[in-house]
Amino acid sequence: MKRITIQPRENWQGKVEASGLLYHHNPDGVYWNESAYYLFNSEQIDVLDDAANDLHQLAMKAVQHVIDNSRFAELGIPEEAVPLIKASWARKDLTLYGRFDFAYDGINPPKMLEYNADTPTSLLEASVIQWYWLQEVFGEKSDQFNSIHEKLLELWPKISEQWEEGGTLYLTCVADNLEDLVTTTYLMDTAIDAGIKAELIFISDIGLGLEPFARFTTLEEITIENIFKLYPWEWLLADKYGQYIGKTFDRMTWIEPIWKLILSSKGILPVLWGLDPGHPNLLEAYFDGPKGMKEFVRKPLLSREGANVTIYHEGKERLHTSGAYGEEGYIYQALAPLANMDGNYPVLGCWVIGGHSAGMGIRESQEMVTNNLSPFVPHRFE
Amino acid sequence: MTRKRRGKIRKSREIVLGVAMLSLVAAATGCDDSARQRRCVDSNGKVVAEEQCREEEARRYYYGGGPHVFFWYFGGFGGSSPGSVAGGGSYAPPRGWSPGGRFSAPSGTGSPGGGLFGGSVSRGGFGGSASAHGGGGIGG
Repeated sequence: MKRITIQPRENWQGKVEASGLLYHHNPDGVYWNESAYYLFNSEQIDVLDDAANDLHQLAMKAVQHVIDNSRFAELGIPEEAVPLIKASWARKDLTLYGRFDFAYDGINPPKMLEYNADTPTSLLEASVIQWYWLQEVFGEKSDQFNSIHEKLLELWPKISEQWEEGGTLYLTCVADNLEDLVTTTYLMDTAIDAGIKAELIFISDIGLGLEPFARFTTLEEITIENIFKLYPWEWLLADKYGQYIGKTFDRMTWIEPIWKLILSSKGILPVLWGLDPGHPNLLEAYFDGPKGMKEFVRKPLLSREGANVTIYHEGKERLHTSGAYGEEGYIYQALAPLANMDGNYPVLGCWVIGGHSAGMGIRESQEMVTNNLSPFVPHRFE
Repeated sequence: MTRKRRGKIRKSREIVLGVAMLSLVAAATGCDDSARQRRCVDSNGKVVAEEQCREEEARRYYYGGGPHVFFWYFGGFGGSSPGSVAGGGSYAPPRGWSPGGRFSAPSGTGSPGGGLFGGSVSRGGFGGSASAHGGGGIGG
């Protein structure tokens, strides 16, 4: 695993924009960074691929464990979600995607930092943009850990078997965030390409009708039965219409399914550790304090974008990120030093599509916490 | 964990961008009519580069504030080149305007009765938590 600097393509901004990456810059500067790339060997890719597959299987066992042992409160999951989670798990609602974030140095086993199981983004970059980059810069014979697009196309027909033939899939996100809109639009295109009728609706445009029965509707007041939402489950439940999710639940297919709430809570980290302590891809983690760990991270149970994270070295606070999370409590996870690649700290986002490892996107930052502004750097392997 | 030496993990087919993404790109990069109806102006109504509005939006979104000196101006007359003066339009987006040229209803409004079942439908009951967490999207 090496970080190699390289000349960016001429007019790279125009090229990535034309492929949908409209947010190649952010307030911190360049977001899509093709002035460097990561090079792996085939064995390293196998290691990452295996880790993602193994951990997803372990995560499935953890969901069953949380349900069997009613550990919802520990994970910060609201009570009203519990019967819905149980119903969703029992009827085997399918998952579309998720992303493991790994610390990896190419030598030691990758360590799972967290599982973005409910609303992962940076999908287009990983699936499309870095693939076009690879093709143009290194030619058709070059290789990349990336079968995300194909796996999405293969998966959509299986997911659509959950609803009535010919039913429309609605995809929703907030209206004022370009990254979310691009991710949702990309997924919509893959669904359409797979033969599904799909439309976009912004989340604030979703209507609620109560007569003759509770239902969520489109702007044309068509009842929504199948929906992909790039919007966290805990937010949906907390919103004004959250109380109607239960009333409409039996008539709807939600993607991601609500059982993903279990995996999107950071509480899953100590649950996983408890189920398989010493697993080579897991970090020691606990609910009730660092338990003697000197180098550890405190993370809110429900948080995103690296917010409200505190890093402790030798038991003392060394770094704290701001944010609006933490009300539900925290977990304590051993600190996994990120590989230092010329002053850059990469986090490897390994995608899981339909429960199967599907590819990788790398974000790097100059600090130990990756956030939503951390640049994306492409990769290849040989 | 079983180690296995597998063949290359690579794409088996080319990626072809879909229509929705292409139209989003066209709208965002000013290549279709719905995007051209919007111009970026300064506090004197003088047209400036759209980049100014986008950068200010990004700054205010990510850092939660700062001075508001550039504004989107919807419709009206005047040129679209920097330096032109815009008039006859509005600083408020027309009903149904949304980023990317898509159309949506203003948040929190009800829509007229009718539809499939009749009766009234309310809107705006989803999305509030995004504002409570600083607005915008979820990243992750």
